[in-house]
Amino acid sequence: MFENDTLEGILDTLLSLVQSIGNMIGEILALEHSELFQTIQPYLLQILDDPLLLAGAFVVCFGLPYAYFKIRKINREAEETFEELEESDLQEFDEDEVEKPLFPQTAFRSAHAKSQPMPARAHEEKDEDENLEDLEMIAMGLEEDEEETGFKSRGEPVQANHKPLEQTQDEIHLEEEDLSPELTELMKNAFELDEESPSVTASLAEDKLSEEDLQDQAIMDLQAEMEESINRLTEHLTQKPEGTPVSEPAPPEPTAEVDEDWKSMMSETFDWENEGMDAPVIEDETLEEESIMDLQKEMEESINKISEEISKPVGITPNFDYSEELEEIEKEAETEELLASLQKPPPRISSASLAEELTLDESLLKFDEPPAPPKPVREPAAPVPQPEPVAREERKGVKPPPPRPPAPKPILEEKEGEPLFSEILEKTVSAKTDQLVSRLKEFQDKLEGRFQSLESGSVGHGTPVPRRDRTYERAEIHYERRRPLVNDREYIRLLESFIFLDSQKKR
Amino acid sequence: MTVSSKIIAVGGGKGGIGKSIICTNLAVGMALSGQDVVLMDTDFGASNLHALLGISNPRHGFQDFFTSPLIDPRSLLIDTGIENLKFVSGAGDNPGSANIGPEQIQTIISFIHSLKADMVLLDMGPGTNYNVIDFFNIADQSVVLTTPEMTSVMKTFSFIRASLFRKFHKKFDGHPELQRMVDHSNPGHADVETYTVDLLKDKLGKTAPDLVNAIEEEVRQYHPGLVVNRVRNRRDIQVGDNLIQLVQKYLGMEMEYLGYIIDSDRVRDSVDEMVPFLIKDPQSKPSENLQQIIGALTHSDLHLVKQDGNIFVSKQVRLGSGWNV
Repeated sequence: MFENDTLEGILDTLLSLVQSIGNMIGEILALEHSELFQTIQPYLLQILDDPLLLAGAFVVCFGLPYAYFKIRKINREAEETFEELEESDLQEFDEDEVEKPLFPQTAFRSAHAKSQPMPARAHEEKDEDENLEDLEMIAMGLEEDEEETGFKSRGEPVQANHKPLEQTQDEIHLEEEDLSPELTELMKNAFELDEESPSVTASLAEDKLSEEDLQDQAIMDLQAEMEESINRLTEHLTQKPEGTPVSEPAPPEPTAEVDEDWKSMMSETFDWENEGMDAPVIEDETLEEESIMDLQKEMEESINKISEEISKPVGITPNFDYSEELEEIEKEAETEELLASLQKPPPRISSASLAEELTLDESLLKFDEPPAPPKPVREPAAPVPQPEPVAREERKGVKPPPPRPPAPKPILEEKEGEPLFSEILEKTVSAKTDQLVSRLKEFQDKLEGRFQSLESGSVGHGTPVPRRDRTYERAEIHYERRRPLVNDREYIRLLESFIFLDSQKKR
Repeated sequence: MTVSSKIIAVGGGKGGIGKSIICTNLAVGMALSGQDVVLMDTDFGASNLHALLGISNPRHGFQDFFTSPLIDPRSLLIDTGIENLKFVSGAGDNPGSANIGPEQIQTIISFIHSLKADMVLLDMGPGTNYNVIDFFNIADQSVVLTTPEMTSVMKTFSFIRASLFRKFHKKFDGHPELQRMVDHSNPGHADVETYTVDLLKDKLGKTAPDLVNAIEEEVRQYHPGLVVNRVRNRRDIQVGDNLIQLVQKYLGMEMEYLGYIIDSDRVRDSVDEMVPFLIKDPQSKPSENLQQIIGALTHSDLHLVKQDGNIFVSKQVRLGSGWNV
């Protein structure tokens, strides 16, 4: 009872307090005269009459804001702790990670690319390709806008962004003096193609900063790819065997011939109507396999020829023939390895082919395919013309495959199928080369074994000697074959038997 | 040059067993050890020693000695480019030169004895004819060379026996009965049943017993050295012991196993390069074998080292050897 009296006293006090506060607010705000207060007044009175409702009202008025404040505070603390942890993790990670600049230089980029594992590099290249595609899409859109509006104002950022490219171009111009005219022409074409890029970069320069970054990255990527391709080309040129005819310094007619060869080969590999994207790769692979099979056949013939010679009775002079033949085979194998090491596509890309690539949109529209960007920035990194396949065909006397009817605009498809093509080609060629090398080693082992048998005096031991086209009769031989004597007494007795006559021995 | 020369003859019954190569390198090794050496090619009719030394178109040869009697014998000595080593060539020989008469042989032997050198090495031709044996028997130290093949061992035995019996023939010139027993050059007059020393002594004991001791003394004094060339294994080395046993059994001689030389392509290469293998590669195994043989012949320990193209010689004379070096 006492407790109930106390509670009632407290409630009365609170009610009186609330009422006094309400009265004060009412007087200040003149709520008694407002319709809103009059509408909620019955509810307020009801709340004041019921303690539960009053407590609920208190909770709503004070508890919820307090809870909201408290939750925010906890959340903020959690965020701060998370950020601290994240910063510490990032610091630890940065210590291990190689710093990747926003605009990586070519040398760093190549080294970084080399140091990366293959899947990561492929992923990075894929990302780069996607970025380039996005960039090209934006550039195309801007060019279309430009054509529509006729607005041409390309300002200073273009020069600023293009400056590294010009430096690279100068550097490459210095190297051009040492390179073949074919390479020079290719580089010119590549830089002619690059000159298209200022419009793209200029348009991007007026856009957002992210697009500008993309543009810079694209230029740097282009520069890196060009340098890589040039380095690859110089390596190939240095690996080129002596006496290999160097192509003419980009006169229009030979280039056109080479382009025709390239086009014919390209046209062979594509069947737009019947086959999908993978078909040309397979076709190219079969072409390469054919050439390799020809070489392999030649090697097999020579090896079989030499094997026949090995099984013949031994003479001294044929050994030198074998050595010469062995040298020839080794040379062939070396040439084969060299040819295999140089990646197959010998595209003698000229200005005509590059110009054709620049007009790919129409062809794509013609075949109702999704409008893929023409990738102008990727073209300079395309494989550089290699004269070795031509020289090989001349040396081997192998005629080039007959040209098939040219397929419309195969260049873009070839470019898309090129990585897969190169990969398959590399695998095929390396497998074939390994096979040839293993056969050559077997042949060498056979020869060495033969020489060893010569040295030990057991000529033709264990190997059947083929008969010639003569009549043979079995020889009647009656002799006792003696085994090598180990006992000294037997040896001396044998010596005595050879030195003295039978009658002398008896005495 | 010293007054008295030691004559070392290198012979063997069979051809192509390496007599010229071994004789040349023995001479080179002895010359490098500081002795005055004269190397002579006594393979008349098939001389080739100058080729092993890389001497093309020698100025003089033994033919000059016969065709120009007034020639100064010292002009026959040819410089070899190796210090202390002179060479008397047999180049310029003609077909039939091997069949020189006894007088010419004696003239050459007199020439050899007149040489003033520490060592005179004679390279014998193959076979057992007297033109070869007579030169071989003038040596103070005879070196018989063989290879491990059975045929070579047989011929070497025959060569030693022919040499010994030729010694008997020369030694007992005034005993026609003994001459008939040991000279089988005329089978119609020879006693073909005296083909061993024991049989000879048995025969002599019946007809001329006083000569038996002389024969035994002659046999005792003759102790040629044996070198087995082109050894490939231990069994080949053992062949030399077997031959010594055979010689001791049938000829009563004590042979000295001077050593062996292993079969190596380096020796063949040195012949192709016309440089003695002892100079070309003194630290090779054949060179080491040869140095041991030289040490056995000269009673010294010889060691050659080649550094930076120069050959350094170390020689230690064995005490009590009695060898005039």
